[in-house]
Amino acid sequence: MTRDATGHHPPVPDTPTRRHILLGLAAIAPAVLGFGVSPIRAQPADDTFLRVSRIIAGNDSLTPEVAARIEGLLAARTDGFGNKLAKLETALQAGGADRDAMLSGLDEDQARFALDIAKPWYLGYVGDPSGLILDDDAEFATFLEAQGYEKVGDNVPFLTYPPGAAGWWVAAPEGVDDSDLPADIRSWAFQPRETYEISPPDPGWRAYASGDGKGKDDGTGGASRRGTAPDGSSNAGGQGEGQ
Amino acid sequence: MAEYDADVIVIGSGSLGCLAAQELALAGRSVIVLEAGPETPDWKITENYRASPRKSNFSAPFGDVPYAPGSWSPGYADTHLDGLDVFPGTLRTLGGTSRHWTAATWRLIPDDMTLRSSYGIARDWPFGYDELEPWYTAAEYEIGVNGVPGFDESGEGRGETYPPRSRPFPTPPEGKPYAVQQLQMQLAPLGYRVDIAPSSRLSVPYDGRPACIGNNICNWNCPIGAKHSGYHVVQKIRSLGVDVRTNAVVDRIETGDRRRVTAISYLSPDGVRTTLTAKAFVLAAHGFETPKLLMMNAMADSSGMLGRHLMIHPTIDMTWLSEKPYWVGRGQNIHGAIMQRRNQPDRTHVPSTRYDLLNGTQSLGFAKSALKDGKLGQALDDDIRDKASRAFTIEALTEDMPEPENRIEVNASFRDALNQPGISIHYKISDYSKANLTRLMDDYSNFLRATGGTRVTPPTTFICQHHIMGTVRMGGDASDSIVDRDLRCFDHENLFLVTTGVMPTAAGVNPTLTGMALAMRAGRYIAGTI
Repeated sequence: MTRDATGHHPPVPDTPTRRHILLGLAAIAPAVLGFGVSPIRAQPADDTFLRVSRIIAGNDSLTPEVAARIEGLLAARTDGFGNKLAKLETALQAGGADRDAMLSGLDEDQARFALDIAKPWYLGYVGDPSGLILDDDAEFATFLEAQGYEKVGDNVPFLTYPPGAAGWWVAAPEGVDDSDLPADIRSWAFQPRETYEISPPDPGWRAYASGDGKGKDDGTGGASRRGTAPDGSSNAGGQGEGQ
Repeated sequence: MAEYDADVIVIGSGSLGCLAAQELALAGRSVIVLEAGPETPDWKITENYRASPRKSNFSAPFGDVPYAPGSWSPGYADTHLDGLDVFPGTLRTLGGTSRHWTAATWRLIPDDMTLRSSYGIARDWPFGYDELEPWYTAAEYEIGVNGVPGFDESGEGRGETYPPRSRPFPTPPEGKPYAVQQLQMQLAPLGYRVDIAPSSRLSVPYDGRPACIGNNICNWNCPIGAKHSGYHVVQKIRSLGVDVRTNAVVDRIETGDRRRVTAISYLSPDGVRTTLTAKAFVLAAHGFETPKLLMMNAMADSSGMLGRHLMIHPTIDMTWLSEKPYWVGRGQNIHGAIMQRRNQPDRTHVPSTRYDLLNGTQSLGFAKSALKDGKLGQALDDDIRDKASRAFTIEALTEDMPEPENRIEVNASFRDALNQPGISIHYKISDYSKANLTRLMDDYSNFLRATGGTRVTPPTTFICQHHIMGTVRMGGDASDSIVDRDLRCFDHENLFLVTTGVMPTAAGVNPTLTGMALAMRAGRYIAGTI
């Protein structure tokens, strides 16, 4: 995967490009390794970064403690961080009270800086973490306040924090209508057919699948979205399976 | 004073080494197990995972141990890869690399062990399925495999249990997540049959381990021990009196007259050397470390095949967005499989393949893509939510051919904290594996058609599994194999190699259950010889 770099590794591995920070934590006994988590720093002089972060993430529950950590990580990696932050807040405030209105008023440099702030809040790290060699410049930002998980948290639990006893996942997710599924579908012994024979590929879908065709409007409902297929993007945060 | 330090010394504490040790201990033999790495409990790995920026890296929560580096430690592996840019990740830690498997527990089917006879390719195993079957059953009951009665693993639509089994699965089937329910109904009209994927992620409490509650980090290490790993066998063999020593880096094997191993010695992290003697020795140090250690000691290679015939299960992922929501990420890392491509008549030139239905959380990956595209605000949140709800990934695990050029060697340019070398990995995707690409695209197009899908990642890029096979291969002839049918080294009569590296062919399924069956069989055999 798994996988899963590999051996199994994620479908699109984060290839290491920089090697100047060791994950290794060399001379420390591994059983007591910390994993590069920056300590929560003393509270900054003001809460500008927290206010800006809450606007960017659209989440007023972001905590001052995590904001302080992320601010420290970004400040160490960004020239002129303080000035950029102050200008960004001014620009956001000029946009009004609505989050999207605030963000839409940013100029190119400000939007880029807002993205720099969004990344650790959404992804939980700064830098480029490796899916393979244990050698990169990534540093931990947050896990439980990572918006990449939080935005789907009502239906997909934070990893390692399952919501129920064994088998809770058999039920349909919140807001999903499963009335179209047969009554016995939850059993692995259930099969929709008595026998199976794989159909040959449809030429239009085959062309679309391989990127050779433009897609065809065959009334299946798929054609309308094919034009917007995010080719080349990837579920880079997913994982395969290993061993 | 005893003549030997132990009846048997096992080098390597993974599932396979510990299961062999357990069989030996149950037979009344004294055993020492040596593990190069440290002991790190499950709770600590979970905390390391939570606090890691490398959520997609299976080895990261175990750290980079300077005296016991793994294959993903910087500089350790000198790679020469053709057709892929990734390679298996290994751990050196108590419990071994089984700490980071998903616990997929497939059996080989008889044709998997007779490729030469059945399809005119590769080679046959030195024994058939019937001989391994009792040990598959023993392994399944050891680790608590869950499955469905009457299951046909062949994908051939036989309508009956296949391959034959002497006992039913020891535990009932796991819960089937909504995502797989939906997918099953979508794919059936185009002829794809979705089945359970047997595993040792427990469906009910078993042998002191709890049932799985869906932590969903199976591949990094189960937080609660619902997934079997060698770490559980460590606890069991300790209670049997086995002397388990961690931080013991074996580097020297002494062979006296060359035919017999007389002693091994290991270094502690601070360089103190200890030498031990035994009647027999089991080298169970993974498919990479096992041949490396033999090469370091210029042993076991009269055939010239040591380290060769490396197989790693080339794998291709395919992802799409369905019209209907799935919400993957609810439950375990993986649930279910499509087996129909496992054993088809054209296996003469198109490899065996199993489709795994992956169930890992995908939202972080889509968040990364959306941020890269410059999305912010509600557009960003909507994009993450929309794609994470409708995405599904199937991975195609592909059989590879045992080719002698694909190999590992000692990488002397690397030196760890104890001045030990790394490995060089030479691997080229075979034409046989590449022959799968057309079929995978055919099936991907059907998956898109069946789900009204939008293409995200088509099946074009090979990655691989953590499965390492072939490097110390088993056979009936000392001139082309490293070990015999009992896993005994042809060149050293009291040295046994217990690793999936003995598998002469790879099939299209995960090798670990097969490795466990072989390990238990070898343990019982060795106990009878000393």
